[in-house]
Amino acid sequence: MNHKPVTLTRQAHKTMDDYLQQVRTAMERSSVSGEQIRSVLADLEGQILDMLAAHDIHEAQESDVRSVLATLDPPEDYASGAATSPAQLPPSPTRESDSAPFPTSHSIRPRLSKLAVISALLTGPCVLITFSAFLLLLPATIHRTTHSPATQPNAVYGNGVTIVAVPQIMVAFTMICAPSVVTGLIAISRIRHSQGQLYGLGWAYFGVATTPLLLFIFAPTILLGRPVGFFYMIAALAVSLWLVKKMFLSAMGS
Amino acid sequence: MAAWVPQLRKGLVELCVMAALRDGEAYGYELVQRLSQTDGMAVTESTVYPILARMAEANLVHVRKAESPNGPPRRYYRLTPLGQQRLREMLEQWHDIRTAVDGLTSGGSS
Repeated sequence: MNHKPVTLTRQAHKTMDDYLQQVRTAMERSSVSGEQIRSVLADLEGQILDMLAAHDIHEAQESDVRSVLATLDPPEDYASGAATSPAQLPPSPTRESDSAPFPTSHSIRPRLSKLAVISALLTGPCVLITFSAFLLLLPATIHRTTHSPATQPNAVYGNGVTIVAVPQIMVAFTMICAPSVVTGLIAISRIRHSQGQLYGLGWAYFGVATTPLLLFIFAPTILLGRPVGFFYMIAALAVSLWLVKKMFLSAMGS
Repeated sequence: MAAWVPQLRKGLVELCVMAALRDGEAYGYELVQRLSQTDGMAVTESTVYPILARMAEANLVHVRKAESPNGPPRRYYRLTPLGQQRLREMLEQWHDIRTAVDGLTSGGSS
């Protein structure tokens, strides 16, 4: 067997997905667990790709996939196979290699990754947290960069706010912004391994990149103080907006 | 083919799947090929994969994912200690049944 991975054209992929979706539907009617269904579908997809590879096919067309599917059991066989113990199974219907392998009424479409959407949505609270943190820490920044004595009221206020705000900001960041990055990374991994069944890579990238971008804009601004920090912030905002625009276009296209 | 033949075969598939895993792990399609090439078995994927999935959920087999040269990761199955115990029990039962049926079909008593 040749060891080049098999790729499927879009139509070939859809044809395979249609078949797998019908197997899923048949098994769902048998009230088997989702884990069992996923297990069967994974084995079945692996078999289809192995059978294509065995025919020395590296870029499978729709007709190649249909030829392979015609040699497989009809999807409804999985309902009986999943529902009962082997001893209770009814006789298997005769394999119909010459007929159409499956009807086209049930078709699977690539679906948007929920994790990618969650990751992107979490960026909203992240932006709010970051802006709140920036506004809270601004007095401390002003105090530090204007060299006012530590006993001045604005200095005392600035130091107090810093002591109170920083731990709360860190907790909020960990609770909201870190999950945005983590869910985005998981979504990217799942989308890449889904063989076209999941999409939303742009959303996932958006979710992953926003937190680092916010840090990139605001953390140096706070540390540098004014006026250098504010010039930096304007430049960093411009760069970030350009990056966000690119990601948004990517999200719309994916 | 008479309707009772597939019925009889399917009753034994779980035993055969476990027996095929007795000597080591195998991935799903490999098991289907191995069993389908066994004279008299003629089982197909719609029988084997749901059985493997049920056995995995019942902790009779352990599933290991490994890279496949052809696409998504392959799922390699191997018997767990519980699965090995179940296989021993099934083989004992099978031996008793076969002895009894042999006795009946050869005209003697078991």
